[in-house]
Amino acid sequence: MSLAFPSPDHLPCPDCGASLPAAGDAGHVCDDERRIDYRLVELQPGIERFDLDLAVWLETPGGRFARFIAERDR
Amino acid sequence: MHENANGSRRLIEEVFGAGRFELVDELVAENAIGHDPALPEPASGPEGLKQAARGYRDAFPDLTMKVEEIVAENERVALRWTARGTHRGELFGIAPTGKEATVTGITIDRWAGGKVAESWTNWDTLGLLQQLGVVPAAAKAPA
Repeated sequence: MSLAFPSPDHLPCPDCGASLPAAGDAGHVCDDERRIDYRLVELQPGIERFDLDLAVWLETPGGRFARFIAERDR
Repeated sequence: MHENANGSRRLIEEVFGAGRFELVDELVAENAIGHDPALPEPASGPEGLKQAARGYRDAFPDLTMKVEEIVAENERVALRWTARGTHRGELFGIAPTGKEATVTGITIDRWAGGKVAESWTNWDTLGLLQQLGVVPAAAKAPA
C-alpha cells in the first residue's frame, strides 16, 4: 500500500474563509459579513502599514503644512 | 451515561468548546497532567489545563468542539471529537488569518478519585496548518 502526503478533510473558502469539506460543497454561499471580516483580516497588514506611513509623513514639511491647512479650514 | 464519560465530554465541549473554565476545578485533579503534542510542555493541574484552553480560545474565540464518539472502560475514557473555529488570534506564532478551520482529534482521559488525573490528546495539527495556509495542501477548496 502506498502512502500519500495527508490532505485535510476541510479547507477554507477562498472568498470568505468559511471551513468547507475539501471534497466539495456545491451548496455553499458566502455570508456577506464573514466575507467582509475575512477581507479585513487580509488587508490588516496594509492598513497598519498605511497608518505608520501616514504618521511619518505628517511629520515631514509637506505633512505639517497639510495639518496646518486642515486646522485652519476646520 | 457513565459519569466519567460525561465529565470528559464536558471538559472538551464546555471548557475548550465554550470557555467554561470554572468547570476545570470540578473535573481536573490538582496533580493532573495533560499531554498535547501542540503544547511546548504538558499541561500541569487545573491551572495548566485552563491556560491551554485559553490559548486555543484566544486564537479561535468562536471555537466549538463536538464529541462524536465516546468509549469508556474502567477508569479510562476515549473520545473522538471535531473542533471548528475562526483563526482570530496568534497561534504557534502565526498571525490571525481570518480562516475558519475544522480539525479532528482523539483524547484519552484517566480518571482517579472522581477527577481526570491524566489526559493524552492527539489532533490533526498538520491539517490545521494546511487549512491556515502555512503548509501546502494537495486538495483545493471548491470554487
